[in-house]
Amino acid sequence: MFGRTRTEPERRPPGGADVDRAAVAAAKRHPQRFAVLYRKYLPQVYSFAFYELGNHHDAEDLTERVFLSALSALPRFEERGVGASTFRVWLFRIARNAISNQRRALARRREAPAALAEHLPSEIDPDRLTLRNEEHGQAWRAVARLPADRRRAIILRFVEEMSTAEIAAIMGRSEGAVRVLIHRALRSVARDLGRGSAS
Amino acid sequence: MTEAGQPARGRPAVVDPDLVEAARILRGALVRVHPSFRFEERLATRLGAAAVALAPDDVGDAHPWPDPIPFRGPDGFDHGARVASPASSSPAEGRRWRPTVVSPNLVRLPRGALIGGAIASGVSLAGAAFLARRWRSRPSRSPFARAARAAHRAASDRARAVRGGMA
Repeated sequence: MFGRTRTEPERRPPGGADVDRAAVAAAKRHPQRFAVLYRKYLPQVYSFAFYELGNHHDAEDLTERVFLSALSALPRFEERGVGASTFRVWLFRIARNAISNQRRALARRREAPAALAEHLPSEIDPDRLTLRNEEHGQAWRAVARLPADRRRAIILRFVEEMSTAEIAAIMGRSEGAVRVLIHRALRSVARDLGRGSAS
Repeated sequence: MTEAGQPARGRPAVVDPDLVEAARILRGALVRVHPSFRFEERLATRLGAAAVALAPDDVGDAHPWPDPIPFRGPDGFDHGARVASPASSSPAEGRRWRPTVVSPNLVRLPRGALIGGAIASGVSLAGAAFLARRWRSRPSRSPFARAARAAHRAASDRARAVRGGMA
């Protein structure tokens, strides 16, 4: 049922919503079929959690909660229109809410100011991720220094390869606002990499 | 060009090369991080259990969970009894998930695997005893082993003679 069906992570092809639609319909009828969606989206959700939270332990914890929530809430999911209300967007909205909750919980548990949560991604150790060169390490550090909303937009764009409409739906912003976030984030990263003028 | 990257009205879109270069670097640097295989399988197991608990009755009948020990009824078909859900403590859940074995048709279960195993085990034991006997009766090529056996035999004969004399 939830057995491994493939070994390689899959980059989502554009227009894969139709495949999702069939898988979601099957999973609604037979919850065991949720395995297909789980295998497909596990790397994406995990990556998102890891980039947001900055360590594998918290990312695993969050990924688990996201998929369990998605499984139990799946009967209530309804796809409306195209693009912005797909299963992937819905799943990432669950992840976004879970990340917000986790950050609040972490801030309370560590008895640190809430501002600490904003700096959690800086715990990402570039060396542990076997980055190919120093340029990538600098890029990681530059992304980690971004404000939370810009960083999230950048991660969804470059790691998850999402469209502006999808990012807007996940973040609860307009598409124009997302474009501004990405543009400002790129400018900050370029400045940190020594390739841009200060804005 | 506006701050949001939109071209100003009436002008061709000019993308800042620094931003293009930053985007190129990010595209290479921000790789997808894959979870460990162990975590993936652990979560799959947990989701599988949760899916069992969520499945409605008819779904369970249409797609039974594979039983690790299939039972063969008198009609010759396997009656795979589903594994009871861990969340089946409530009466409603109990109705939804049948216990593992209960059908009266399955009282006399053929146990071919066990019988076959017993036969195989018996044959193995008999073979081992036969080989041991042959090895024991065969004269050894080693002079040391032959001397040891002769000494052992002599000691046994002596002990038997002593026991006979005492009797």
